[in-house]
Amino acid sequence: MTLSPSVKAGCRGSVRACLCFCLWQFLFTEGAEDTTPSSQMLRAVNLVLDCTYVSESAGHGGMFPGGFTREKALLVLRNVSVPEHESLDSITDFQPQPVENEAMIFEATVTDVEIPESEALLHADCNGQEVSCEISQYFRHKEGKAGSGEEENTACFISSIHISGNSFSVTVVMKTIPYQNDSVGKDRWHPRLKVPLSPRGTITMTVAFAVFTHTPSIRTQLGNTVKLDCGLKLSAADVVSVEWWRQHKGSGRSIYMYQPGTANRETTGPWMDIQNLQDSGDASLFIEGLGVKDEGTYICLVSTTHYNAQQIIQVLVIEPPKVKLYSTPSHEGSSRSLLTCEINNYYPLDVHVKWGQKVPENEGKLIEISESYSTSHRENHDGTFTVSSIVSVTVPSPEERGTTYTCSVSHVSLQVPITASLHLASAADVESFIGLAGVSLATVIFIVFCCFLSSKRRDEGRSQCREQTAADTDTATPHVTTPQHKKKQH
Amino acid sequence: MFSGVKMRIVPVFLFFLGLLCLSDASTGSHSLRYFYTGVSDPGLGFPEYYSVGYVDDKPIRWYDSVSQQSEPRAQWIAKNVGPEYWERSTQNQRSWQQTFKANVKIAMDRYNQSRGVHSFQLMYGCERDRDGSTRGFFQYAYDGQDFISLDKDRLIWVPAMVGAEITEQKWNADRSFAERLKGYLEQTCIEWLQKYIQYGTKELDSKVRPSVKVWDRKPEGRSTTLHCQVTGFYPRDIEVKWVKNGEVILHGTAAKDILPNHDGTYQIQESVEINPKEESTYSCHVDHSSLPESLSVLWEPKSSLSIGIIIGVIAGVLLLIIAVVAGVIVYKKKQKGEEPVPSYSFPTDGVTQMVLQTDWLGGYNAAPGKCPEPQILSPWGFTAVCRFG
Repeated sequence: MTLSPSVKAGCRGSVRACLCFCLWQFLFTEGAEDTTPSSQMLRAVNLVLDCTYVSESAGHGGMFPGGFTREKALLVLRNVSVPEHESLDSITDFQPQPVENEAMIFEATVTDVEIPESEALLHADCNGQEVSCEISQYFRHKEGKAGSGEEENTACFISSIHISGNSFSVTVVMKTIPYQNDSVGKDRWHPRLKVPLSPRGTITMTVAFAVFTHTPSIRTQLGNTVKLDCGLKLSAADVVSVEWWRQHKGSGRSIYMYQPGTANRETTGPWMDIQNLQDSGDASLFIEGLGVKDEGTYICLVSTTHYNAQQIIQVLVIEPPKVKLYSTPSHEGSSRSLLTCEINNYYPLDVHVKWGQKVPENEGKLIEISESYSTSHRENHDGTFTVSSIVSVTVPSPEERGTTYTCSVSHVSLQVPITASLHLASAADVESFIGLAGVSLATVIFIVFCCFLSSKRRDEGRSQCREQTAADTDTATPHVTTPQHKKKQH
Repeated sequence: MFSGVKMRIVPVFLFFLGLLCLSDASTGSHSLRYFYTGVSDPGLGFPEYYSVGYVDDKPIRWYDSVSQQSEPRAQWIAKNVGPEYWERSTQNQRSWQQTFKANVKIAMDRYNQSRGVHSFQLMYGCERDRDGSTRGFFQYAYDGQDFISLDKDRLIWVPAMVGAEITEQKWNADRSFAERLKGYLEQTCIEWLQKYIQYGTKELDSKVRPSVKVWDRKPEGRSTTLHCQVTGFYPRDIEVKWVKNGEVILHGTAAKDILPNHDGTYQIQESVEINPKEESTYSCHVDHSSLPESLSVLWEPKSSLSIGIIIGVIAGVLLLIIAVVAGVIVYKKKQKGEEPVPSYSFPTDGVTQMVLQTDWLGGYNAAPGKCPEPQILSPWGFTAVCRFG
């Protein structure tokens, strides 16, 4: 009854074929046991997930006694509610085959604690997403155990399920049905897990508690308001407390705490909607005007009377750089110029700069410049960074048509690099422009002065003078306003 | 310069570990902190295991798997504790070394890693304010990332990494471990801290006056920036602000801007952009516990460049009327006058420290090609060591 790899490959190949295959493989309707959920639009199905059972191997001391062992396991979530679907009619029944003693099939029935996003889990494989699932033994708090006698003879397991692409993560705590140690026959006892097996050879449990998030990883720009999603599913009678903990680069602290019966502290920082928590089990945290200082790992810790579980959420700040390209003349008389590509206000730190040049003589082909150096990066007050990359280039001679230089900046925030370009014209040209401008200006002033003097003496010479002035200004103006270098920024 | 960086890497990271969660000395608080590190492959030039203890920002004790001996790192500690202290510490550290050796491997196993260099770290310590309030922390890291932390107040372990949940599960099931640590952090640790503070009163309370330097710089295409460099001070806490016509315009006390010097003192630089055309006075004010009153250094602007340009242009035009050729020459000279005046010289130890800062913030990006992927370092620090050459 384990899934063959060939079927899985077929699943990914075609979406249409996928539905049939996946539903057949992942979904087994129940005959007699099927209980229809309250809403007529929902239907109870079984969700089967490939999992790894992780357990600690025996060892000596230390944080983990002696490493971990991994075994293949199946997790069957029974009675999961999914929206009614036509093709469900054609689904084959789940017929468990006799299994060997060692094989692990965890069968958890969903009763009052529902599994969120069960539909996403159901179709994940078809949508090209990987579902990773790990099961391990769950250790209850000693205080919780002592509470009732009924709890004594149950074992608990915890399953962490992640859908790839950081879209969903859920932790499910499952509890075996109560048993009496001596009333269970040897053959109905899992040799290593020390829990009773059902007649079908499975470990039968009920879902006791679930904590989930739709935002296991958040990438956002500065100043945004972000919602760190955290939800919980538990049996209605239970009392719940929520703590949000922020851990970042070696320092951690509690940033929000909700305990029923205690007055909620008024904080100016991150906040939680308590009403939402009480109504729908939504323990999401909101952070307004996100700054670099808010970056980190946030842990949503949910505790009930008997259980606790959490979700880990990464918050990353991604701020795209602003790029500016300009030239600085090298020392006087030098034929070299320094081009500076200033990369401003970006986060995180890593940027890559590529320099290129386009020479018209070379049909405008872009040639990479490898010789560049960069300044030390500077940290701005908002936590973003600034760095400059500099290249030294030869100023084109007057015969050459000039070169276009480009600076391409790649950063994690950018889908395509930002490219800034600059046209470096001949230094001699520029100087002659200025010279010409000076000559023209002087000529104009000189002529005006002449006219002024001559107009005092001879009235008939005025019109001639005026014509000449106009002609000179027209030719001079473009040279004066021509920028030394064209700047272009994308 | 690069070889200098290479040689400094180990002390740099140790030092930065030491700066973590630094106590706020201005409120008279003191701290005792320990940092343990184990690596899977000691080939990096690191010992397989080493640990260091600090009182405030002063190292007091060192142990590594090469010497296998706990050693004093401060005279005032060596003078005040007897040989049995080092004996006990050595025994204790040898067993930690074994534990860490196992833990690195097991953590690698947890993440299905069979090769590569991996690290496992622990840091813990306590802090006591002058008013008697205390704080404590105890946390682990794997590969430079927070792995699991103790929430001392709620007596629970908080996993910060996917994969740490099994450890969290187990440790949270039995509160006695967390309770023992809470006891250590709130009692034992504080008692020892107070002992150490007594032993090292002179060193821990020493005060070194800062030297202050003010200069301006006008980067091409940007407004003039005034820099105030304050260096060589101890203790670490300082207040540096820029004052314009008697009003504070920039107030810098951000702890992260304070950098360590090689001699145990600190430095900070505060920069402010100004409009040089405004008729204003700017001064840099420094408040530090070593100074009886605040120190103020006035910025003296050089003759304004813009006025020079205006005069130059007028003069040029006048000259042009007389002689066109002469006019061109004069104009060229004025163009030259627009080049930024190099008035910037960085103090030598400042340059060294800038390199250190770069290492701290993330990789070292001044040597492209040698360290291809600079990355943000965490205070767990050392996994992101960039190998030079």
